[in-house]
Amino acid sequence: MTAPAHPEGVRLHSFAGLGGRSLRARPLRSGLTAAGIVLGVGMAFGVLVLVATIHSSFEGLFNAIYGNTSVVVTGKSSIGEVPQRTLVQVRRVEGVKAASGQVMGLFRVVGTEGEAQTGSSSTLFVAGSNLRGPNTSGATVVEGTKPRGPHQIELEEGWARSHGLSPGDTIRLATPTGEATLRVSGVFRFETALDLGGYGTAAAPLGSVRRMTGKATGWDEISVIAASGVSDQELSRRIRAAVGPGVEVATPAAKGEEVNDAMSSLDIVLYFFSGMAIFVSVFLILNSFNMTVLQRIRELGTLRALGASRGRIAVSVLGEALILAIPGCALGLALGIGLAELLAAAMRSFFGLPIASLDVTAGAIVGSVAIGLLATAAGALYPSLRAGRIAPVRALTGAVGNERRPGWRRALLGVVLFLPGMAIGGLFWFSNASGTTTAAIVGVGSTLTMFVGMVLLAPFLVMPLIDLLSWPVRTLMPSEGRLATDSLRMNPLRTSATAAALVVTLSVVVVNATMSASFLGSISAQLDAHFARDLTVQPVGYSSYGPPVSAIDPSLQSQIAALPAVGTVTPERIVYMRKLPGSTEPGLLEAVDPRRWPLVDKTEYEGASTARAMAGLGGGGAVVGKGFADATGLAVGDTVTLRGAGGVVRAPIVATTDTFEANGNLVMVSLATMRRAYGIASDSTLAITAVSPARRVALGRQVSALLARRYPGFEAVSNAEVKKQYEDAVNQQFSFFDAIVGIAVIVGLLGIINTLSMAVIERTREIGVLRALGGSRWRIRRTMLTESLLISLAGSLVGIAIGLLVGIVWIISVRESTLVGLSLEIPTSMLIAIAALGVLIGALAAILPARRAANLDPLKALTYE
Amino acid sequence: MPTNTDRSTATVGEPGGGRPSPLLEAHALTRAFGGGATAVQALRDVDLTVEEGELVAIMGPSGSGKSTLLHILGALDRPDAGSVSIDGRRYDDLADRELTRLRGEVFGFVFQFFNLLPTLSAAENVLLPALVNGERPARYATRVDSLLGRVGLGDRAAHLPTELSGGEQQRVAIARALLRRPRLVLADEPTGNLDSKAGGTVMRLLRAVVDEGQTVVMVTHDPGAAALADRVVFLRDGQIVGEVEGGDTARVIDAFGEVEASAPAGAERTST
Ligand SMILES: Nc1ncnc2c1ncn2[C@@H]1O[C@H](COP(=O)(O)OP(=O)(O)O)[C@@H](O)[C@H]1O
Ligand SMILES: [Mg+2]
Repeated sequence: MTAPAHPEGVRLHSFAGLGGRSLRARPLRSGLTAAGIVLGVGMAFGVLVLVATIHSSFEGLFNAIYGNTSVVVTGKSSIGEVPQRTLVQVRRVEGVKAASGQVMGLFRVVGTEGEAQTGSSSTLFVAGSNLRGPNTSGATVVEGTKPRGPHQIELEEGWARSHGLSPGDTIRLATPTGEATLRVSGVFRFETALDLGGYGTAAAPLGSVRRMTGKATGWDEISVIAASGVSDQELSRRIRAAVGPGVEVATPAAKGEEVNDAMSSLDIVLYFFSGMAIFVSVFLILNSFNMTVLQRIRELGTLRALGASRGRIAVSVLGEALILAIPGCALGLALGIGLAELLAAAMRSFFGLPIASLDVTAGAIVGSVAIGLLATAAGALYPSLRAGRIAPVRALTGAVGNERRPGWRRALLGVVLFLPGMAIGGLFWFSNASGTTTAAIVGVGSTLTMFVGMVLLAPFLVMPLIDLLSWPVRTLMPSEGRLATDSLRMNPLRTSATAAALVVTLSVVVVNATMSASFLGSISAQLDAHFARDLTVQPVGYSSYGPPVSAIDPSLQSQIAALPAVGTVTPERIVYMRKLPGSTEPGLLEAVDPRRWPLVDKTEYEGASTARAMAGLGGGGAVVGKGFADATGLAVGDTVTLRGAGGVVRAPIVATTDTFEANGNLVMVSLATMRRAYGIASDSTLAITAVSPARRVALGRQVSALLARRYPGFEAVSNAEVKKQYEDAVNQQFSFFDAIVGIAVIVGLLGIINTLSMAVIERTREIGVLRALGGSRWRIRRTMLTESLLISLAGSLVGIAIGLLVGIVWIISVRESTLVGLSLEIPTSMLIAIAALGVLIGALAAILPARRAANLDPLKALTYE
Repeated sequence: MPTNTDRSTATVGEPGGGRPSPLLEAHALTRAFGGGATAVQALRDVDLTVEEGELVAIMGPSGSGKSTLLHILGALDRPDAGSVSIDGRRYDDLADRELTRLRGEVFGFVFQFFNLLPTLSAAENVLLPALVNGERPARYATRVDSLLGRVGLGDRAAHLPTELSGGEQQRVAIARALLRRPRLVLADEPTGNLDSKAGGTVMRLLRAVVDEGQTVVMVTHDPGAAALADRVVFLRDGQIVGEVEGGDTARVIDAFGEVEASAPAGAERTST
């Protein structure tokens, strides 16, 4: 007798197959849970890919432009110019085979209308060097020739192709000294591929770049090629010994490292948001499986009565979750690629970063899938154990008394996690101590701890609110209101778990909105109070955190000064430093002309009158921001030491200033001091006043006409426009974060749909009775909608309240520590919009479950077990 | 005569000469629920013996503790005091791991609401105890077919529970309870959710299974069903208050009426 492998009618191979069946039996629930996994994995993968891409972009950049270079010599932190003599010193060092001095220009392409074009793809980095000298980049000409005359330029192949340029064509560029028209002599290719996300690179003769940039002497960079037998490190050491203290000598690899380090704060923000998305998706999985277990209590009890061990039940529920994780991870990877593309595009345009095309590594794939599986397991663990603990008698009695009320222990734990999480998290995000990796881990960890606290506290806030909101609902719609509110109040844990998803996500949006409104409000107020200028001239596309822009040649200042309507024109030279002198914090080094600056700026300084502060600057002193003073412990009378390639300048602090620029991380000196230390002789912006208030309109017209005629790379903007640009920059920064938070909001939406459909299943019989007694489909739908709206409204209100609390506490702590003038602004209209968003989520979430409830066959519903 | 004792006869001791010891012995079982003022004494000092090959019916008013007793007999629950043993081995004090093993190997359960898994076909539901205990389906290839044939559903193997009537579902549940040849099948109101025709079919099936050697203890409200049992035990307020022989519906109805009418809780046992 040959027994068939399987009995007839049996397609299960083992107990494990049961999981798949039960998932298929609840497609909506399974789909929603998987969607949670998709979003978590998607965020994790997107961020991992993006971070890898950012870092490999810079690696690729350095590999390409320093193809043949052993050692790079620049000003300290790549700031300012290295003096002419340094090249001579470097060449004399033993082991140097060749050294080439370079001057860099950043020019914008001028369109056919004579206007400088904005955007990274219209930005060209031009390196000027002796083209008959050593080839430090290792680039080779692939078409045409090297530039032979002063009006010729050689373009990188990829950029030239994407702009449709080939040898013999002409290109118009906006340069600091005015517009230049150049002939393309040839096209070159780096040894390794270069992808700057749109930015172009080009080479031109030294003299030509000096003329276009106005940099008459000094070098932006000296590239050194080592003689054979001398290691790069050894050569660096020797050169370092030969040149001055303000000169930085580094291998290209070390420079790459440095840039990577500078990007790490961005990495932290990205990791935080993916951590947050994973957190929410774990929460969704937890909720969803908790509900499935509750719903299947009789079924699981039956399995126990048939002899299934605790472990087997637990493993089978966990297995169900992991089955979902497989498609969840796969789709998550696809989503992640999409997200990474979007974020990369946003970073190119918001921050002007040269992000190459995506760098998808096996590590990122494996890591994200591992995160997805771990998150799923973490979310499903508690429900699985709970399923294993179901008593076999439940096979007969079903669920009894699941109306557990949250206890005081939960409240206590919630408070214990929430408060310190908020305090430490706030310190991390908005203080000066956010630099180190340890600080980042602690900061991000405590922020997530704060969210866990929120989830634990949710029932104690949401339930009373639901009770409160129930009252009018029950009065207005006695039958639907009753059904809807009873179901919410009978299961406080389920109700608040659903609302908690909204609480967490909306609170982040509110914190973001409150912080950005407060920063914006304070910055505008400061600009209003300090600006005494009538007009600002700045490079097209200038913004304090934005993409790199060209400097302004001093010749422009004298031409503007000659215009009849101009009273005063004075430059502001601003350098972003990864480490301010004497500090470990990044910030701005600003230089002004002390005699003219008070005419365009009426900031009041602390520790000295404006006249004395300016006199102090003129005498070689410095004014520092409060943030800088706090971070370094320096005060009026102490000395800031500026170490640049030009020399070492000791500047006594003559006053402090309370500014929002760079969170108060600001050091202000005179133009002469900056030039002496760093060799910087070109302007960032020009501040202009009219000879008399009556001539303001004429002033604008005259300056704009001059710029349009000769300097397409610069624009004249009013104070209102400057303010608008600041606002845009701040908004853009915060909205970049909001975009990421949006993903978490979607997860919250899934969570609500999940709970609601659970409520439908649980009340199938009740709905059947209602339908049998003549309740219309519309009435059933309205019940579900009411329930959903109540949950989402309560969740939104609690989320807004907690978000405001966190935002206010954080603003107060920022104000106490660094930004004394920061004022709290409550973004009222934004809050209303957020509440509306919460309610909209509730309405959306009700669609599917309401349809399902309304379409229940009354007969079947009545006999439903 | 017994056909299903192949696995356990070796462990059944035979003290006291030729008479075999009972299959199941419960002694002085006590079980209370809740505490304080709301405490309910569901069982007080219950003794019960079940011989191999017997069909024992338990009757009593609602709330008298029938289900509680059945749960303890079936290792779904533990008594507060007293002992219960099968084949001479006590299991009231075992840890969950051993109880789990007993549920899978020694007992079979039939529920009032059938408790079939809605996503599994009839045959898969029958196979479930094997799957739950980690066994391969192939081992039961012919067993499932023959059990489904035995309960008269040989042609419904691939049907889902929703495609079966209540009586058919309960027959599938009986086949499921028998799959691993349990020593004892326990049924809590197996006809309680069926009309009289389907209930009759299910009861005749249980009777036939017992006649083939299976031991069954069932709780029922229906004197007609109880009359098919070998013995009917009456429970009231958590105590055994009487026992009659089965076989005659009128006798069962009389005895049940007597129990219903007898003195309230704590009254002395009526004996037959
Ligand atoms: N899990 C439980 N918790 C509290 N009381 C229970 C529980 N199970 C049974 N009882 C109580 O024990 C008594 C006996 O119940 P039960 O054995 O189900 O009665 P029967 O099956 O005879 O109707 C009843 O009063 C019942 O309310
Ligand atoms: Mg009962």
